[in-house]
Amino acid sequence: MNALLSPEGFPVRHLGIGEGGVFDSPARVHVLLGSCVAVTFHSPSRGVGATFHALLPARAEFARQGQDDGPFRYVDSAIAELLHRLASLRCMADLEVKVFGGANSLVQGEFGIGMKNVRTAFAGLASAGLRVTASNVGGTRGRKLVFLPSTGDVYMKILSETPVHGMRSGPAPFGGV
Amino acid sequence: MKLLLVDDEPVALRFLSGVLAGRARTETAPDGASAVAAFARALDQGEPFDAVILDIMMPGMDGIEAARRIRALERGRGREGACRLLMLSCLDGAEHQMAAQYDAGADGYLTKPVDSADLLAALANLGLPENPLDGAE
Repeated sequence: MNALLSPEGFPVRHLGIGEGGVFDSPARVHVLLGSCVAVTFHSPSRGVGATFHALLPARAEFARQGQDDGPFRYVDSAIAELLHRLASLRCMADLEVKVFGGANSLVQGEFGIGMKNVRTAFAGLASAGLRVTASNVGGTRGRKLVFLPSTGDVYMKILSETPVHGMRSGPAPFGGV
Repeated sequence: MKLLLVDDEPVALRFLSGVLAGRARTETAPDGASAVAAFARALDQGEPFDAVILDIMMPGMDGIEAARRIRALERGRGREGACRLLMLSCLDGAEHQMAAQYDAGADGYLTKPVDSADLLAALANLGLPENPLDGAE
């Protein structure tokens, strides 16, 4: 039986919008994504992983006046923050990087926020010299991710009953959009 | 489970066929045009592929154009999105990963080199043969 279904399990952490972090001990990180993006980082040599759940592409473009949103609400600042933390843990030499999410609203078309989120993620990672070894992005359905930071494994399922309807002002299904 | 493996490198096709031996019925194609023809033929015969694993850089029709045409064939038969399309390429740039998934309708993208665990995990995440989160809490 794999670690995902192990009775012992790992401590479970559900990442809501604007949350993220570095995990240096075994954990099971759950993320529910629509147009939001999660990037997973894993250093095999250090056994460390990191991820975030970002809602919007760029802090400079979307930051809310007078609110301290923290680094993980925006894709660009989330990547910068995690790379800073991972560098301080000497994890940069062998980082494995994967990108998930970015579903498009059925009504937003090619200029949907999901695609912008993913484009921003790829740009930020490329500017840091990081190669994306796997991605699962786009479409019109939400995704459930389970990330094991200590191994880098990502289990993913497309949520067949959860079409993305674009950005929401109220609570989003499964804590994500 | 029936898979179509598409790559112009015989070594890559041998690797994929070896990993999938005993797990799936596989056919191979050396380029995009052959892949589209094989996909159409399978539809006509009533034995469609469950998934296609596509390289991108191939002579003639590339993998992204082949993915577009496979999706068009599906739409024409009322089977849109029924087949899982997994891109497997040495091209790791954003433009290729986004074109494959946002424009051509691929379900996922892996960059070469991959090992058997990477490949099987990617297929499982696409529900082949079953999704690892089915039955998980």
